[in-house]
Amino acid sequence: MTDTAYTKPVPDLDDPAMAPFWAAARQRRLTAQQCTSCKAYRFPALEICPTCLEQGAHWADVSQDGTIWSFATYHRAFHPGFKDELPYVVAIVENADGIHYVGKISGPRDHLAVGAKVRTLFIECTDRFTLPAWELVDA
Amino acid sequence: MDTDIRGKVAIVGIGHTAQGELPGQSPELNSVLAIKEAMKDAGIDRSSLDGLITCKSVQGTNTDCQVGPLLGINPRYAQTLDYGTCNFSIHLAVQAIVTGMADTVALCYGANARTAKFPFGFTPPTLAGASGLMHVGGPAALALQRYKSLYGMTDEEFGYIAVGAREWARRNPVALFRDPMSMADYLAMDYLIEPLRRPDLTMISDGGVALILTSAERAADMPNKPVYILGMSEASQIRGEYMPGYLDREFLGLAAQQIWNSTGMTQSDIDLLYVQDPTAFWVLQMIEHFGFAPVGDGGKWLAEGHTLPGGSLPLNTNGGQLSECYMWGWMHIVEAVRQLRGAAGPERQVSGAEIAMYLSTQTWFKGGASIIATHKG
Repeated sequence: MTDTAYTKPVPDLDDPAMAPFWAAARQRRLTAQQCTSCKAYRFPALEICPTCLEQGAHWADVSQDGTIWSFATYHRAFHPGFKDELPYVVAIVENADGIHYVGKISGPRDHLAVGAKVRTLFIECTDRFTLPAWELVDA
Repeated sequence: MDTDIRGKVAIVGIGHTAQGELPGQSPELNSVLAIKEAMKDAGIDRSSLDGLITCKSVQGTNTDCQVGPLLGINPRYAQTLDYGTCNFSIHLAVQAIVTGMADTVALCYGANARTAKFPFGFTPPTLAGASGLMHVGGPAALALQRYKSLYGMTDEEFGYIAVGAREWARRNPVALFRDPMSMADYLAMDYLIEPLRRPDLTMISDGGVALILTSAERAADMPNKPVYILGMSEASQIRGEYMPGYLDREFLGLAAQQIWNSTGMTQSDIDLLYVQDPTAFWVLQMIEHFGFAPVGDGGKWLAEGHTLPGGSLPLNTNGGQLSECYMWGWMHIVEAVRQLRGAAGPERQVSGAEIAMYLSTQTWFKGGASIIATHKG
């Protein structure tokens, strides 16, 4: 898919704080910032660890298994790029490391539920942009 | 240290512009027009005002320094709140008056978000935006879906908030949405952001609104029956989205604890309840976190009809932001004052109402509560 064909919002891939997250997504890795001092995870990026107030941090690979904390189904597109896929589902997913990610849930809606198990799905949106999303794991 | 504010400060003036579409009128103009009405209501002129608290409009304007040139005064006390839903503004005014930093304060909010076509569906350049999470309805729908899964509330039980707001708005000539909406009408509507329907979300409108607050001593000489502040509290969750489960807004329980403890009052003392309502679900959460219904039972409680006309705890008797107008909760307090003065008009006046409670939040970051009454305590 080329950049011109993708009509949904593209995040700021060049934002230095978040660039490592987007680069990792292109390699199908899900990441979070991790404090080098106290090892606490944080996402999205912050300039200092809110747990211990130390600044050192790196991006760590984290679990691609999670559960749905909750989900919402959009029946209206507030951005024209989403018109073609209405209704679409956005969730907050808690991964196995306890990190909460906002993410689209791909696939049929029949078995959607709070607490349902999901795993990361990487959607290649453009040559530069891969969107981490989630799909239900068959029970 | 004496921290009791009970009965020391009163609301003595209320004013607002027409609500709806006010093309060509800036937030600042709407603020000043509302202050003019509020001064008339309080029977004072600008020479009595030595304080001004403005609340930024949704576009970030309407600061004190932007309102000042239009209002034509240099009050000794001037402040702007970044997000001044009426609670935070009232609390600041009470603090200024009881500490002697100001005697008589005008509080105002003005907005032209409707005619300025403010982009509420704005998509942030983030993972959330790229995933399609946008509009305040998105987070509220997430919170509601989780609540429904945990506690099994039905759409009909939840619908009492929007349907009740419309019932009250039908009795309010200021309200913009006055067409009848039965429960059947509500349930027949499509979801917008499931499980929220359109009537569960605030309307967008233009307008200005203002209050005049002064000390109880000064209030005694003014024409209106003063409405006294009996209690106030706030709580925050300014870590925001970095708090897992932030959408449950459990931190509001701290504001509840504070106001009940500091006033010695209980839920049964409250005659009228006003809850800022950008979404109907935020209302349900506040009803529960402030203890009017146990957490998880709010839907059943609503279905008993307490909040409807004729019920034991009338809620948002102006119609709220769901059916009256979009003034970030400010028109709720105007309505509360009208009710406590006994001046809400024959169609919706709640007879014998003496104590009202007002609850508001800045999304999931801050919450505030005030208790106001016809008597000093």
